[in-house]
Amino acid sequence: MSGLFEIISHEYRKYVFTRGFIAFLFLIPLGMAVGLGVAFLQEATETAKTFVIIDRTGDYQETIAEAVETDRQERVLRRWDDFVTGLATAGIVDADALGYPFRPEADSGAPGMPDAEAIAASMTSSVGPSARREAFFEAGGLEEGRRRLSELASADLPKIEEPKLRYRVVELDLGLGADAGAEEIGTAYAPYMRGDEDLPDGGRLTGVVLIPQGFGDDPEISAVYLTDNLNDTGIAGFVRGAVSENLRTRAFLEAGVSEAEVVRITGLSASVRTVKAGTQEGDEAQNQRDQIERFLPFGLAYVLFFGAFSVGSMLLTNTIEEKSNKIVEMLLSSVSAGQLMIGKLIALALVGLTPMVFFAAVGIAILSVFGAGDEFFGLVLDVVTGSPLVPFFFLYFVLGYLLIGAVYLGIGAMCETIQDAQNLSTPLTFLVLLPTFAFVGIIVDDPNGVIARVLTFIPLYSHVTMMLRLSANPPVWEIIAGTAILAGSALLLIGFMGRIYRAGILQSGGKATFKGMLDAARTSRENAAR
Amino acid sequence: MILTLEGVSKHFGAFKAVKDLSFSVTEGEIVGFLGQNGAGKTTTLRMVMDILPPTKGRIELFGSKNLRDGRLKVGFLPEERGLYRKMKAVDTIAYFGRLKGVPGKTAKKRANELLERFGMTQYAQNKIETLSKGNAQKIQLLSVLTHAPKFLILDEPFSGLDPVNQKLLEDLISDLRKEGATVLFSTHTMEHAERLCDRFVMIKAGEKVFEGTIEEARDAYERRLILATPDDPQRLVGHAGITAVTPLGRDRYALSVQEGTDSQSVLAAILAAGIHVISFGREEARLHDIFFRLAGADQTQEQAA
Repeated sequence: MSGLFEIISHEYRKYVFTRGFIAFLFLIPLGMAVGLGVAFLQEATETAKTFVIIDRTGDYQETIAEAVETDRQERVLRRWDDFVTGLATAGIVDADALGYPFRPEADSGAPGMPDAEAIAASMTSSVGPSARREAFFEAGGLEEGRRRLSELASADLPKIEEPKLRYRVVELDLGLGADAGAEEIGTAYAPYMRGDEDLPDGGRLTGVVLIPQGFGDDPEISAVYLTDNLNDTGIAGFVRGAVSENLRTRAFLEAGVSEAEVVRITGLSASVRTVKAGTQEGDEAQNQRDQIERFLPFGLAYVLFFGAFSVGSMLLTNTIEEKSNKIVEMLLSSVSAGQLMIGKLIALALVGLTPMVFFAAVGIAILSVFGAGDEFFGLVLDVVTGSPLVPFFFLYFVLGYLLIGAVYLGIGAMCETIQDAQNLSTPLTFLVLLPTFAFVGIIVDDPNGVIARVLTFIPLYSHVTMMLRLSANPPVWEIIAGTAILAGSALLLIGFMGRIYRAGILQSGGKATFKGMLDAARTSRENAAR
Repeated sequence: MILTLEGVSKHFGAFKAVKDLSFSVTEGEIVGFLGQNGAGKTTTLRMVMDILPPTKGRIELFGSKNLRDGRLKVGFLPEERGLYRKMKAVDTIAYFGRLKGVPGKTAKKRANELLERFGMTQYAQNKIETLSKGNAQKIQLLSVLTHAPKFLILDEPFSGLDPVNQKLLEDLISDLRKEGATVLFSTHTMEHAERLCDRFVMIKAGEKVFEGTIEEARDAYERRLILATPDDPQRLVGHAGITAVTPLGRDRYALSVQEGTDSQSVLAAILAAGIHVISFGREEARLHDIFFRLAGADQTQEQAA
């Protein structure tokens, strides 16, 4: 038994105490940081999209310009709300003391129940979600808000900046004739889009919106958005929204609806809330908990899939290396082939679990520190430590890994070189990878559907499938049967591959084919190492 | 008895790699295990080390059939040998010791002692891949000695070594024997075997063809007398049990005699025949010749054996 322990200890150290592995442990958080940095960089470097409006009807130029301004105001207000909510959560200011319209609304955008003050304010101006925004900017906007905040707070507050513009309308008349077609206009403005020519106030032109004569009256005539970058549909969508609203409003007015009614009608929006069956509605904590529980299995299944697969395939190179380095016989004169194989399986499982336990520990430590003061982090910690998914995750990782690892171990024992092994391992890799990629979406959409249920009972896929299904409360017998089939087939496969391993490991120039593997398993009794 | 094999056979399917092999090694002796490539040497040694199970027969190490425990007291250098390229020399030696059951700390201490004894302390912290081939082979050998084995089994230990290292290995084996170790090694180069071994076991196509000392081998080989004379000794055939006279060149002749013939009476017959004797004595056959005769592939010689 001490031999088994020595093998495990040796194999474990060989992988974990290397520069590469330690670098990997630090690269993952670094990778996440880079991802965040990229998002931040994108936001920091993002400039407003600029466009020229060529409006031949004369009706829409103003509508679009107004929509651009509304968009700016909405963004300012959202940033303000986030800012104040953050300060209030941290206990620096009392948001309620700011008063309407500076107090952030709990659920802005949805027509909840506006309080008396808001209703009173809306009487004088207009109704709907735009009421508070208009009141906000009439009362002095961001500057007034800042002033009120500084009165409330004793300490120095962080700065709040106006968010960047998303869209900007530019004036750029190239002196084209009133009958110039889309192609002519496009050709004329193209140098500004490509950056060959600068706009009068600097920067690049994103596109040109052309509203032809008769647009709005004749539904056959469509506006044209001319751009160099067809992937960027932001401006086209924005203009479509703004102009459509204008068209609808005009239609209402023509039908004799009063302006106030039009504003009220267009502001209508049905509220549909998703609540997990069996929980109480309006329980905010429960709602957040459900959200976290929704993403947890997905994340865990992802780690499970790649973890089990990559650690399992490490056994392939490990075995081939030992075989081609001719170390095997040295080892087999002290430990049995069975011990060597089991030792490797256990050691690599531990190697795979190490980063998971490491990151889980670091994550829990971080969440505990932040979770003490923050409700959300506390909730995440609560869900993660309390969820039955986590112990199941480790169970399915080990089972899935054993299944895949045993096959790679058997293949490795038959091969002298990685090239030999590729003939055998490539089909296996496809078998493991392809269906998983193809079916993950279906399982997530319908965790108790036919495909999810079938995959539960196919050993190569059941570990990932189970992980994705568990939080959808599948029938208990399916959990037990799926797990039993997975565990049983892992054990059978370890036994079968063990025979191949023992037969193959001492042979040189063996036949690296599936037939060779079957022959090896069949003749294992006489050819095998002990 | 350190090692006993009795009626051991190993079949791989229809192929019989080892057939009814019996021999033994007693304490303190150096035994050469000789045979051509493919004669079954490696298979036999693998069975002794419990790497392969025998099809038939009995193997005992240190008087016990429990090879699983017995092999932990054996230092085994397989023919196919290698090391972990990324592992440090001292760790390599210690690791193979630990696999034999030496506790971690002792193994490390022993590894350092061995490195010092063989003047390789400066390589202790080097990774195997940075060592020269000769030095890596020495580390390989030291890794077999970590657990201070009483019995060494070396499969083709000289193959791949340059003459200087071959000499070093010979010295090491002699040293170990002085310390009381028992050694069984296989080889197909006869010079080493002849210099080192007390006894030999020769196998051919899986069967034992000889076991014994070199003198016994010479006896088994053929009784021939060598006569140096300027005269022609052909007329001696038929006298004093001489069956044939074979010229060896440069006035030397090999006299084949009947079994049980006394060399004194042969010499008397030569002198009586008036043949001038420059030198006379028994043929000193080299192990090399005996090996060829006993374990070689040649048909006629096989019949003679």
